[in-house]
Amino acid sequence: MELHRIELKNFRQFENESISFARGTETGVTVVHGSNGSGKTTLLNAFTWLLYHTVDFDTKAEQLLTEGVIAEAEVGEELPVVVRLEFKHEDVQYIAERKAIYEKQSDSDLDGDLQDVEVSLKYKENGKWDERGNPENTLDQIMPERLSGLFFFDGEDIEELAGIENQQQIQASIQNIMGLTILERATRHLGAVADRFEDEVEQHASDELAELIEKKRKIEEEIESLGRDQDDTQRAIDRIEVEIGDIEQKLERLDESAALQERRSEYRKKQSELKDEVTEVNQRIKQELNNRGYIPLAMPLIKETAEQLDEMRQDGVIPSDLTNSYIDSLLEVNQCICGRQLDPGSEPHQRVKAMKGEAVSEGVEQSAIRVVGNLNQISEMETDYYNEIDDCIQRRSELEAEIETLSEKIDEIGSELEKMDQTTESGESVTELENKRKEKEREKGELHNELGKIEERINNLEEQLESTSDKIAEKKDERQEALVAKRRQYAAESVKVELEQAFDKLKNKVRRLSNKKIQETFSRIASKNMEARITEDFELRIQQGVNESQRQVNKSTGERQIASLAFIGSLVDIARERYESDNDSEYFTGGIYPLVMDSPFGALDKSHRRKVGRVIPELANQVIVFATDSQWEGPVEEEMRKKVGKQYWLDFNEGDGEDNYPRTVIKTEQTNMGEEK
Amino acid sequence: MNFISYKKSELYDRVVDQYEIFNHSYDFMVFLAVLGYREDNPVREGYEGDDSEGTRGQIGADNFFANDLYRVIATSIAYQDTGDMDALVDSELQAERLAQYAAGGLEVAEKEFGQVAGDPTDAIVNLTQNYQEEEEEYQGTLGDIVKAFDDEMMGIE
Repeated sequence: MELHRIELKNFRQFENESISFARGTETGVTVVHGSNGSGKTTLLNAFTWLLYHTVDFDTKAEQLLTEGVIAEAEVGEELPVVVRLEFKHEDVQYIAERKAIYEKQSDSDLDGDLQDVEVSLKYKENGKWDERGNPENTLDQIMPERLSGLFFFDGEDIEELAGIENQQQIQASIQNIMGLTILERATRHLGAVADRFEDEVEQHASDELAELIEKKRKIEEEIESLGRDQDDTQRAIDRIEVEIGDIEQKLERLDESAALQERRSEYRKKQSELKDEVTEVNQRIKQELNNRGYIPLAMPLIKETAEQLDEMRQDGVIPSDLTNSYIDSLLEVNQCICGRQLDPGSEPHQRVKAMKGEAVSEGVEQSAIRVVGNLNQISEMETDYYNEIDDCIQRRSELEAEIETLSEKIDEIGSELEKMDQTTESGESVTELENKRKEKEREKGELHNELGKIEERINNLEEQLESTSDKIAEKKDERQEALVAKRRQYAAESVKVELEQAFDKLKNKVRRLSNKKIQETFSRIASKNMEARITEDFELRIQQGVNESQRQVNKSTGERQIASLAFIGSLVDIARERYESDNDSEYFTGGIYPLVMDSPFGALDKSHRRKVGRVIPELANQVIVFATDSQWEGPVEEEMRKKVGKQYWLDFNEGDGEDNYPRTVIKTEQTNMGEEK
Repeated sequence: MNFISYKKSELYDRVVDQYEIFNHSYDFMVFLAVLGYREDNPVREGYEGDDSEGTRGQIGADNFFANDLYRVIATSIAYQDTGDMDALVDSELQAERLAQYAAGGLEVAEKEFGQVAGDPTDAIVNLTQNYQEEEEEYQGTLGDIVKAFDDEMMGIE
């Protein structure tokens, strides 16, 4: 999709304005300058209103019609609000228009009463303009609403992407842009289909079966509800961890507590390393149990067997297969090893024949050799097993003692901090901060307990669910309809499970792909030694200490904003690369999307603004930036200047609320900055 | 014989899947079999578990017998249990007796560490350690037997 021009009529403070967008890979950036409140966010909303019929205004959200226009109109007069967008998509030119008609209800009415909304989409084919029958659907196919949050974004909210509660949004964004939503929808629909068949089974089922189905449903509902509780509790824990991190940062910044807080962090780090080692030791113990744990228990068995095999050896009960076959060969040629003739029936023949062992099954000797041959090894294994287990247990005790000592030291630091009275700029003393931290730790502990209980209940219920499902499966119901529905239900459930597994794999594959791109983009903007990545839980995280001991960083608003920009920019870039590549995937065809950004540099310092300014135009073919002068001037302007194709200035007049109403005029200065400067 | 059937309980899932103490079900089964033998507790009825009760487990016989030591254990159990030399070579009989002692071992294990809340690793380690002192007595005799047997087989005597 390539944006050409947008026209606004009576849309909020824009009475009759338009913007033509810069195009082309070299100068594809359009900058709209405007002070706070001049209408930058309104312009962003004009796009979403036209395409998806949604707006997000902080003030007077219901009021779309230009105040001045309705104020000057007669009561009963119908007034149009129109947004018109000209664009090109896959070499076809389009004109989309949404028009809302408002009627003025009274002299004091400044909102108007909505009479009608219509949308149209014209397209040019073979030099002729024609109209699409289902414009909203076509628009959603060209620029899907599910992706709108990515491409029309408000910089003031954008850092929230890198917040702690946005895994869903991150996951949804990745799925959406990769075209995986179709799979997600399929699994959801299959679930619904399975439920419908289950209804059918229930309708035709015996009382007993119906009762089981009812029970199964109740368990499922309970599991679902507990799952929500689990998510909520986990989120609460994440939030508390961030709060604790904030408090500790404050303690680190105060002179009086800095050294102690630093020491506490070191102790904790050490403690965490020791705990990791305990986990390793436990792992070694498990390995030992698996590899050699049975040996000590097997010793009497092996001893008895060995003793008996030994006795049999002495009694000649275990013959050597080799000896027997050698004797057979002597008897066959009728000649002993000493040269004597061994005629059948003769005494020498009888004596040699008697040297053969008793008839036993073939392989007995080998089996006996195997048992005995392994005895030495088994004996050594037993010794090794006990030695290794003793070492592990001793090491673990040492580690646990060290961990305990560190806990005591950490507690002592807490007590010392409680006695300090230096205060932060906002007036919080060290004592207060430490007490608050302890309270948060306590809350966190409670939440962890809560989470444990929820998980246990879910596990129990899942067991119940499994056994109830088994019982349902075993029920041979007498009614044919129930049997057919049951088979269909299982078919739907089985396909659902298969699809879910495939979906999970794909989701992780695209997560890794996105990660690669995000890391590349983020590393070009952020400070060295930091990286942004999407975790397995689809959390957008910023970490410090690349390749070494990574730790999550308490992100500043600026860093969050950079991570979010890197995330969005990377997805747009991935979609573009995919679109331009020769792949023939049905699911992820990619696409060319513009980036329309409102105040994307808001919370950034100068150096980061420069880097963002450099990177963003490279991520999308077309970029539209709304910015205040202070956001634009300086590094951003220096970096983006050469990429800017068009610039506009929003001239806002807030009016006096009587004869003059708020109005913004877009000054069209179609100056090519690159050439000008 | 493609599979060895055995009686399983939730304890198998706990030690194999949940706490990953044993890599495979057959590793735990061998442990249980020697435990069952040690405690002289074979189970002669229902030792293969029951499909309808969800207590039947199966392991691939090839995988099991591919492990030399497991083969030695199965051979020894079968021989001790039957006193018949054919038990040294009859793998079906070995599998059957192994499953009987594993089912008996499972009963013992349920009592010893089946009710432990959380990870039962330490409880299993303790169980193996309880047999340590007893073991030390065997070392001398065992060594003599091995030596005598080896010498005989190698024709040194």
